[in-house]
Amino acid sequence: MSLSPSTSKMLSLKSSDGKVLEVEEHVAVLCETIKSLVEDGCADSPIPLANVDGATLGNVMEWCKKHADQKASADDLEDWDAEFVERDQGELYHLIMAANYLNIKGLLDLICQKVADMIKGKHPEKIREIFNIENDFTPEQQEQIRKDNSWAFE
Amino acid sequence: MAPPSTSPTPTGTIAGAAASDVGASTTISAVHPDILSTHILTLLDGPTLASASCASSTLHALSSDHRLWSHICQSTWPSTTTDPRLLHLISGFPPTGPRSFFSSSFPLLLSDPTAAQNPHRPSPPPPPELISAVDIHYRGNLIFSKVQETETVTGWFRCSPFRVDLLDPKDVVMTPIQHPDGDDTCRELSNDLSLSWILIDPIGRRAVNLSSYKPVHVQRHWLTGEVQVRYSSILAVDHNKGSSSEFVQCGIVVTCGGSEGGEMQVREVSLQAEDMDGMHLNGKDGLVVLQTAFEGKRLKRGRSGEVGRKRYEDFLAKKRERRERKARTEGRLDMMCVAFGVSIFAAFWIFVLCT
Repeated sequence: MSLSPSTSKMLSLKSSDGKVLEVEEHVAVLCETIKSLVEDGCADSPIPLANVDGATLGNVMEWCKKHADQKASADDLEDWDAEFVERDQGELYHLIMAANYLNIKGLLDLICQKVADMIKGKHPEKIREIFNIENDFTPEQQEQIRKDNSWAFE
Repeated sequence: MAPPSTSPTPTGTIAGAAASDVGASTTISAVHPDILSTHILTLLDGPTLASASCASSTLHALSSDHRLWSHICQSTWPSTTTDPRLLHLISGFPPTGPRSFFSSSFPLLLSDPTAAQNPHRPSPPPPPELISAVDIHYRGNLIFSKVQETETVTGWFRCSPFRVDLLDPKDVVMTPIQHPDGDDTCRELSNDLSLSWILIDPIGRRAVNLSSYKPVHVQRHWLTGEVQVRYSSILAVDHNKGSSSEFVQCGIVVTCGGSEGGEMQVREVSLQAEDMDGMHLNGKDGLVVLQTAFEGKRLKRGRSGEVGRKRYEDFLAKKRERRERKARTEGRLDMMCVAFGVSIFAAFWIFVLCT
């Protein structure tokens, strides 16, 4: 790895499904979790990330790479982020869990804002549909809860 | 597609699930409840949070957190954070603390005398004092915020016109906004200025928002250039209380003037109640009207403030109609008097001439 032509040292990250990803160190350290491993000198062997699958890890590193780029302007990053979050909900949820596990505040805030915006101003039925969850209230509970909250949407 | 499980998945097992079906588990339960409540629910506004709480029992439990709602109350109405007594009142607001305070104080008030008579709970006695918590925002930025207490037991209050003034005549509050110099900028102002006036009964622990949220009327004085922005809510009056008027307007008037530098300054913020004859209510009658307002129904508050404006215009139309009807009756009475006078006069002369 020391023979790498890149000026930055490369790190190997191993996902939960066994995929190994080679990432430049200055990109990977955007993840606070990896940063502390690097600082403790535990980053020589492939770093096992048991809570992140390969596809999600790829997405996370794509974001880190863009945000580690010194040349990108703030406006540029904002546009890029807006495009980055345009993906299906399963991926968003996995990204949230990964960003939380890897401790990347910027990414976590970005995706959570996206999820919050998806349901903003929506009716309960629509929120159920967006989150793909079932209505598990009993009819009595349902009626009471709707009555208490009717000011919000009726 | 049915989710594999609606129960929250502990963090530890997510990896296994995620590895086997990336993209397949598209339910929010893939996100740990802790993250959901600390990172996502905190970003929601009050109505969305209330709506989310109706979606499922997990979301209902997560969104019942006191801290979420007290944060929402504080960010919606910064004035409520300035007074320790008010903070205490909100956190213990019945039945569920800040959440109940929000659902009483955020929506538009729809005062309806039939709904006011709640058979389950007798109305608490009139409050011995009222707290006003007022916030004015311009394009989402706070420009004015104040809490004021008003006592309601002395004869002075009960007999003089019902009025709450937030600024002394000499006080002004500077704003960073450019003072409008024409009718067009005045109209823009009505889209950009929003006001909330929460009136709180600290003893009965009730609250109501008396504002229409967006202005119902904006007027610029042709000579002085002072701008008067009016917000209002129309309250129904209970007929049993023996009042002749069916509706009362709680009008909030914000008067702004231009400073030397061209910025707008707030000179007056006041609340008054006016009946359908245009008469101002006195403190005693004002309290009666407020009693029904506290119990009134709440309506969803639209972004544009059309509901409030419509109700204000309806009120003005009714007021005009009433005035015309009154004028007609008076006209008829005058006619009758004149006719009676003339006939007496004629009868007298006929009597004189005939004899």
